[in-house]
Amino acid sequence: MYEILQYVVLALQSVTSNTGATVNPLGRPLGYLVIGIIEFPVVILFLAALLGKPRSTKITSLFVGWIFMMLIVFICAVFGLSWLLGIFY
Amino acid sequence: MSKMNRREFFKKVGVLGVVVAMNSVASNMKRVGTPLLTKTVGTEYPPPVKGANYGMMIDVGACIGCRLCQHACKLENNVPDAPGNIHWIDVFELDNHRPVSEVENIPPVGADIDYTDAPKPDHWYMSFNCFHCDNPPCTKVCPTGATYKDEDGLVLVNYDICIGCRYCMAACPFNARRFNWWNPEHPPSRISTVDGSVVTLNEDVPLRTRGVTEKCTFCVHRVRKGETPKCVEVCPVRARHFGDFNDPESEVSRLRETVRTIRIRENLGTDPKLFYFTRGVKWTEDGEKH
Amino acid sequence: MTDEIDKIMRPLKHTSKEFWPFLGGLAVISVLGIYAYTQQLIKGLGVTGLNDVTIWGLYITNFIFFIGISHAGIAISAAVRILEAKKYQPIARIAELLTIVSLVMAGLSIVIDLGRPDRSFLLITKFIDRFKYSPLIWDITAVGTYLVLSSTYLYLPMRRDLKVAAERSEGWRKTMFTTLIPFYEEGEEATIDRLSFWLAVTILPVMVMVHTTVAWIFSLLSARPLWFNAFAGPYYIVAAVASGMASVMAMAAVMRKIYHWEDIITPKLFRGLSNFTAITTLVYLYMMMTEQLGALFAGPAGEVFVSEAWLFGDFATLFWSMTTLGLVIPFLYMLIQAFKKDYVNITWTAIMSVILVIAFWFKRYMIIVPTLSIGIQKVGIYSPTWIEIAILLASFAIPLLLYTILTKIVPLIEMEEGHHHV
Repeated sequence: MYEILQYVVLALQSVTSNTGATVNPLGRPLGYLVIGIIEFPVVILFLAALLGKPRSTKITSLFVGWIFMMLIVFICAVFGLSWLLGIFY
Repeated sequence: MSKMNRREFFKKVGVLGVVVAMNSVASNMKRVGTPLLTKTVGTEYPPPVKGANYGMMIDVGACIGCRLCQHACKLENNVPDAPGNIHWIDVFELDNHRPVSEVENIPPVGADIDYTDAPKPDHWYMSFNCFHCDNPPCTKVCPTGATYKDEDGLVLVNYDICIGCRYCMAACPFNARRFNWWNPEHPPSRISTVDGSVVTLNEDVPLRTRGVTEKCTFCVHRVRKGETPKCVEVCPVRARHFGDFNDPESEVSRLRETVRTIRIRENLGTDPKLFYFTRGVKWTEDGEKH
Repeated sequence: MTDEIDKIMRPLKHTSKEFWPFLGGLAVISVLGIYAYTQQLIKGLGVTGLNDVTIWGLYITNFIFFIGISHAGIAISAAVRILEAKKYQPIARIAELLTIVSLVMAGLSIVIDLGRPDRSFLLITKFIDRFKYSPLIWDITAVGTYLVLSSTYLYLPMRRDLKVAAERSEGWRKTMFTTLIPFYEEGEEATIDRLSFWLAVTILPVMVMVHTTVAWIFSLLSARPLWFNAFAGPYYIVAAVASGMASVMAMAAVMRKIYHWEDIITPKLFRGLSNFTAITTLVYLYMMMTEQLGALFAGPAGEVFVSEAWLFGDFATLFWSMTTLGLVIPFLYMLIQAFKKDYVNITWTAIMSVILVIAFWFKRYMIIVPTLSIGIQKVGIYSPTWIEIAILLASFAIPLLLYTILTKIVPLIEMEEGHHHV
């Protein structure tokens, strides 16, 4: 547990403060912050969807299922397009 | 697998996943503060030299603008002539009345400047290639990690995973990167523009396809075997100096002790490793001769 | 009330004789564009007018433009839901559909711009490595999230309308509408309303982040004058909202005309949208002035070069015609209209909206091209080739084609009120 906390603190430090004298050629991993901000509302959405009332198991699963389906569609579209355009290379 | 076992299995996998993720965070922590990073797939290049930090110094006072470096580079690195004439090195002609701080004013990439009568009086020449920055902006933005800074300070491109978004080119403050706009043609042999000999394809250098980015590698295939880059070798006036800045005995380290140097667009904090200097009078602030 | 539902369902059941030629025309343009794209794939990106200095051109312009258009749809319908602005409900779905099709086109624009589009899957497989650093990955994440959420937001509240549509159709249409609503249960509307509310709450911040990350693609590059800009996020968002609102107005005006929805999509609604567009355009003009002043006053050499090229140099004609004809005149029109009590001329508002949308396209072009061709080396000529133009036309035809097809599948106006009474 303590170790995990340590890692979390390190991760936060790497975002918020300069930890070294020499420069990391990739800069600070600010993406943790940005992706966190982008996806944070989604977490709220899932919490609200699963915990709020009125609730219907059917509709909630439909909702979650739809979101995951669209995510898979998005990823498959990228892979599919890559595969399709691969015939030119 | 029984139900209980399966649950335990997933539990273990879950814990493992967390541990792996944490470790990757931790190894990232270690990377901060060390001037090295990530190569994503197996390399076509020789392994990096441990502890080295390669850089180049160019004597703009000595340079006569002959462009031998540019042509030798093209032959050495299988840079195509057609279609789309790519140069990894650009040589620009400047005059005494143009301050160096205004490099924005330099002539276009591939401008047709006649150097046959170089060095022209009152003119001086400045050559550009990739600056192999210590803090390269191009590696940060790359969405696939195709361009990366290796442990010996060389900024390289993995042509196999470049998707050709040209984001690195937008990020580069020096226009050092080149894009393969066309499918490059590689004739089996070319007549050298340097000495007229017949030059075949260099097997040490991977060929590029259309749609990927490329740039000066400091002749990584030579440097990592202990040789100097081709442009340094062919320069007739020894204007180019190459070496390891981490080695205090190297030529460039000793030069840096003795001459005054400047770097281009240093204010951007990219820490370029291409230093310009001259032993002449042109750049001294107080007009003293050196 | 039943009349109204019949009116709303008209496009689903009846196809006018102009529909097929229109669809065919769009398809022809799309196919020409795809042909041009295959040329680009086979020969390389050299067939475009781009070069090592001006590395991005029409495709990236299109990308920012379509991301911008995609913003209004959700903004309007989220406002409908959160602020209970019932007035705008009739155009909510017209706007949402616009969001979806333009987001798809924005994604395609990135792929079109890639040198090796066959490797675009690396954007996903390298995600874990690269999300920490690359703004492009941030943007793709944001756009992906936005696409997933906005499609959910479109679909869930549409279920009740599809149900009504299924009840009122026969034959293959009934089958289609019924297939589109799997697991339908009586009284699911309450749950869906709650989910939609939370979706609206979620989508608004995601929407802000989408355009902020688009802005960051450019504004985090310290080497590039006029891109490197701390207020790029808000600056881009204002452009997105203004151009998006204008495109929704134009689209709604067209739909109103061809489907005879004069009493559903009311002039009052256009008046509100037009006022809002006027305000955002004004804010945008103000931001443009701030940006240019900062660059011109005593800016670093690069900033001055680019700004002078905008205002007095190579791009001056484009810039001034875009600003005056494209932004100021529609703004003034909408402003004057706002001050006239209870007056709105829908035809002129729609025309001004189209002008505004075109101007914002050129504004995006102005963002991309001058900075690249002048910023670092004060040279580099870029003029688009026929291949780029063909792809540009197709990238307008493809979303329109998708939209036109969707009008035959999706009830374009929420039938909520009607449904409660049925």
